[in-house]
Amino acid sequence: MLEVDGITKSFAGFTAVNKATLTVGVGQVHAVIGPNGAGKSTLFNLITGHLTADAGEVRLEGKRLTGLPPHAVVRSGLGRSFQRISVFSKMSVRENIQIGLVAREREELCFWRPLRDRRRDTDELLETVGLIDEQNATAGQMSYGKQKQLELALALAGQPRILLLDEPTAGMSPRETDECIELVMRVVKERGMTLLFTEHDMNIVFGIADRISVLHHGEIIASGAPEEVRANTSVQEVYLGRPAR
Amino acid sequence: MFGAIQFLNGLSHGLSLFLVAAGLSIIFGVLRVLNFAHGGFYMLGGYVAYEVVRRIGMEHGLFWVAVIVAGLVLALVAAGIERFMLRQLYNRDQIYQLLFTFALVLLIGDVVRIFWSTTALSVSFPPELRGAQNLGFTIYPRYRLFLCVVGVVAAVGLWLLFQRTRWGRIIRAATQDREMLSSLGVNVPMVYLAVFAGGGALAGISGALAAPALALRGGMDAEIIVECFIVVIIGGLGSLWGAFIGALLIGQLRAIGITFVPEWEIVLIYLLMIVVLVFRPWGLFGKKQAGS
Repeated sequence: MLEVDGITKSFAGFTAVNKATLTVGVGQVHAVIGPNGAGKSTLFNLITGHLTADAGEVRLEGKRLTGLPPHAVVRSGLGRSFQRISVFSKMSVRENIQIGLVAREREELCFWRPLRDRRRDTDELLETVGLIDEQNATAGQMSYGKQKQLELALALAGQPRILLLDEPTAGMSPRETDECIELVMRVVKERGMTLLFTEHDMNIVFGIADRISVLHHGEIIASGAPEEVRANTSVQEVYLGRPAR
Repeated sequence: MFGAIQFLNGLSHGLSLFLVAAGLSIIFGVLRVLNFAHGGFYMLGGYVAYEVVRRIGMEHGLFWVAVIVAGLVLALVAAGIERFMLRQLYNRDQIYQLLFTFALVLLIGDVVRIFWSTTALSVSFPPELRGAQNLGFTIYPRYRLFLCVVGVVAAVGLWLLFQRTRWGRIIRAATQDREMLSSLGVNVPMVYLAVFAGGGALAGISGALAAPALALRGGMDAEIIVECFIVVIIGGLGSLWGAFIGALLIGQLRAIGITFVPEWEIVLIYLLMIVVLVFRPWGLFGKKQAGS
């Protein structure tokens, strides 16, 4: 599905991501873990074209993504969310979704065509993430958890085949975290999507991931099934600090 | 009906000003670039219209051809500037963008001096709009009435564009979060290019329409940009509605100033700007945190 091949990125002499290689299979739930500053977000930004790699290559279903601008990467079938809240905060929930839908159909250049409401598609997405009752609320005034739900709906609007979520539960209460993970997993299963995500909560990671890659100082030091990674001594040393529970 | 004429003078001035200020405001709202050269675009639009009229005349509706050519030329000029120069500066400190657009001001000023020298030039009124119209309560120049109509049509048109079309929604979204927008699959650089070119076209058309109403000369760019800045400061940068109200206010204030305290006319406008800056620095219709 997604292949990251020896990707490297330096900022002013500091190598944030160093020859990172990982493969995500179709339908897998793949977690990237690592201490703060390990390069997880940089890796994501390299995959989605928000940053340009110094070396290496990213391929999605065999198609080369490296060098494409973010919008072209998205159109290749990839949806993503950011670590910080990224919704159009001054617009209503419904308007947010409609922007996502217009973008998907690449209609933004057909300005002469009237803006149809797209009631069915919009409603369906709102139902999926459980925001149908909040459709007229101003996005920026909703609770943190609900804004994250909207963000997921926006990522889904492009009908991606692979979803990249950067710390989807960051800043959430334990209850919001559980609901968020449940929602994400339900949507991923329903739509048969592949999921690549970063997460700091090890219970979640070992609870839902099929495969885990460990990033440390910008390098992937281990990659494999959860049990393998848990048993890997170098992972225990440099990341978990002690044998994992 | 002395007051009515002053009011109409203020209205036509304000509505013409809105056309220019709207482009400045929209460009700032989306690109976060304060385009000093917007007045230069306006001036260039006037000179392009002059040149077209000089070559093909203005009978049989040819003046409108000149106006459209001015809009197209300025859209192209703006598109070229955005695509090949300004685009390189988005990731730099804002001071570089300011310096760049200021350099454009000087450049456009020189271009005008080279091609059209420094003497003032004039374009006559298009034949279909010469003379005055009897409005019942007063008689008023047709061309100025026409400028009022254009301003209102442009305001309504822009409002519809932003509220009712895909483009409008995408552009409004771009003012809020460009990174997010690109992650939805929108070609954001293309949106920037279109907005800058559209703003350029608006300024070019405004300049062309203003040409018959005032003499063309180097320096008209500085005058209009100062007024535009005041309009958007009063209305709130990035707010279309604010630009509309701000322009109308300035128009009326100037008309009142000219009538009662002619030597203080321009001072009145600065005073209004200072009052707004002191009490509502984000403008009458702007957002509190915007404009940083």
